[in-house]
Amino acid sequence: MGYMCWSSEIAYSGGMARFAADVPTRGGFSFDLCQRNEMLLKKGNQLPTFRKTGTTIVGLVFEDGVILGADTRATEGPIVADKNCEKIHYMAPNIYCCGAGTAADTEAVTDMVSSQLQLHRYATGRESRVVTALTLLKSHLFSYQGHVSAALVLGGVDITGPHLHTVYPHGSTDTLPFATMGSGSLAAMAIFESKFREGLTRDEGIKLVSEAICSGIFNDLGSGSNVDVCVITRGQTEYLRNHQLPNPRTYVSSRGYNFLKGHTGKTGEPYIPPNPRR
Amino acid sequence: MLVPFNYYTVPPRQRALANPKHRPCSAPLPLERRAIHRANGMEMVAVKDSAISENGTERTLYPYVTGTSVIGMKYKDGVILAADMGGSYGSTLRYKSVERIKHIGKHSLLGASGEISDFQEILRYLDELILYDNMWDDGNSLGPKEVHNYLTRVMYNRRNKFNPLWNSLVLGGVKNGQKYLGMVGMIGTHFEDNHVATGFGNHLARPILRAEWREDLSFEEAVKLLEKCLLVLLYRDRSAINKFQIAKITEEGVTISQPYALKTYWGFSAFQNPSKGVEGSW
Repeated sequence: MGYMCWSSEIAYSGGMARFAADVPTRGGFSFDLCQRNEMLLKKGNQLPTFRKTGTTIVGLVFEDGVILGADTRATEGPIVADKNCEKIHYMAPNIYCCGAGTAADTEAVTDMVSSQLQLHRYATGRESRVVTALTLLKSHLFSYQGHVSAALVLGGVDITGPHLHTVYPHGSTDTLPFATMGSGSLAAMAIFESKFREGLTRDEGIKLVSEAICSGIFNDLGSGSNVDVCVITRGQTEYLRNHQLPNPRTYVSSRGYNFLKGHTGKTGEPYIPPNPRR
Repeated sequence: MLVPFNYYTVPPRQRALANPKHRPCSAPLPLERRAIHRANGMEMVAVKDSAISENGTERTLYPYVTGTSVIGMKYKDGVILAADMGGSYGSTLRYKSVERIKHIGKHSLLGASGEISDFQEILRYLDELILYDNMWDDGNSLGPKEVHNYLTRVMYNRRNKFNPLWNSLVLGGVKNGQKYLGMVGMIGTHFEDNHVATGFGNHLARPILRAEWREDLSFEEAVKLLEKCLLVLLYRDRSAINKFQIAKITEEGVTISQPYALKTYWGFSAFQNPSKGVEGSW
C-alpha cells in the first residue's frame, strides 16, 4: 500500500491491522485521503448532495442583551424538506446559536460545542462565556478547511456583557452589533442597514428582528414559513418559538376538514404527550 | 434604417484583451460575468470555441467596463431613477463620472447597468430612432412604452444571435399623464412594474421598496426612500461608489440632478474596538 489510512476503517497492509489509536499522532493536517477522493471523482463517483437550510438568520445587540432571529424552512434543492424546523440551537443557558448551511453540519457542530461547554462548566463551576463557544467553533471549523458547511450567528450574554458573533464555514469570525447570514442575508441586511441604531429597547429589537426575517421570508426563495426569535438578557433567556406566523394555511372550506365518525380507528389507550424540550 | 445587429470585423487589439493574460489588470471576473459563466457552464465554452470564424466576426463574451445597480420607481407626479456614477474595470474602479441615466426624446429616461460601451451603443440606436421619428414632423412623439418595446426587440434579437448587449436597462417615462416604468435584461426578459432595480439592487433595494413603496409618494418622500436604498447599496455592494445622480421625469419634462454624495454612519460603539476580549476575530 502506498499510503496509510487514518480513517476508522481497519486497513490491512501486509497482513497487519492498523487501528487509529495505535499510530502516534503527527502535527499538522492530514491530506492522505485527498488522492483517493480525486481518484473516485475521476472515476465518476459524485459526492452526495447535502440537505441545506437555505436560510435567513439574524442577530442584533440591544440595550439589555442580544436578540437572535431565524426563519423555519429547510430546503433540499427546490423542495421544502421541513416547513417548521428549528434553526436557533441551544449552546448554554445564556448562549444560543443560529445556523445556516448544511442542516446536519449546523446541528452536529452546535450539539458538540454545547456538550463541550457543559463539561467546561462542570470543570470550572462558572457560567459559560460566549468567547469560549466562539473559539471552540472556529477551531473545529478551521481544522475541516470549510468542508463542514456551517455558517453561524452566535449570541449570548455573560459576565463580560452581551456579545454577537458570526462564524463562517472556513473558521473566520466577526464581532458585530448586527449580523445576518444565509441565502436571505441580503434582504435582511437591507432592513438592518436602514433601520438599526444602538440602544434599542426590547420591543423595538424584537420588531426589527421580525421585520428582517420577514423580509428574508418574502424576498428569498430559500427562506420561508415562520419567524423564530430568541431574546437573551443577563440572567434570563426567552425562546419565542414561532413568534410570528406570516404564512398561515388557508383552507378552502371555512369549516376546515370534516372527518366523519368511524373513519379513524381508536385503540382506547390514553394519549401521553412526548417529553417537552427544555 | 440602420439594422442594429450588423456583423463587423473586430480589430486584433480587442482579441488580445479577451485573453486574460494580456489584460492590464489580473482582476478576477466581475460579478455578472462570473454569474453568466456559471449559469452557462458548458455552453459558454462551446460558444467561445466557435466565436472566431473565417470572416473575423466575434461576439460579446464578457463585459469589461461595468456599471452597478440602477433603482427606479413611480411616484405621484411621474417616475424617478437613481444610479451611482462608477464604471468598474474588473475589480478596479476605473471611471468615477459615468452618467448611467440619460433622457430619450421628450418622454423617457433610460438607466443602464452592465457594460458601458453597450449602453453607449444603445444610446446611439435610440438617438437614431428618435431622430427618424422627429423627421416625420407629425406632432407625434415616441413614448416610453414604444421605446421599451423597441429595446426589448433589440436585446432579444441580439441574444438570439449569441451576441448580446450586456446590459440591464431601466426605462421610465410619462406621456399623456400615464406613468410607465419597465425593465429589459440582456437576454430580452422584459416587464413593467411600480418599482424596479438591476443587479445588486434586486437583492438589497427590492425588499425595502416592496415594504415601503406607496402609490402617492411625493417627490421628497420618493427621494428619501431612494436614498435609503442607495445607502444600503453603498454599504453592501463592493462596486458602488458614493457619487449618485437622481433623475426624475414628469409631464413637464426631465431633470437629471448634479452628482452628490450621501452621508454614511460609522459611529457604532461596537465598531470602536471590535475584537476587545475576542482576539483573533475582527
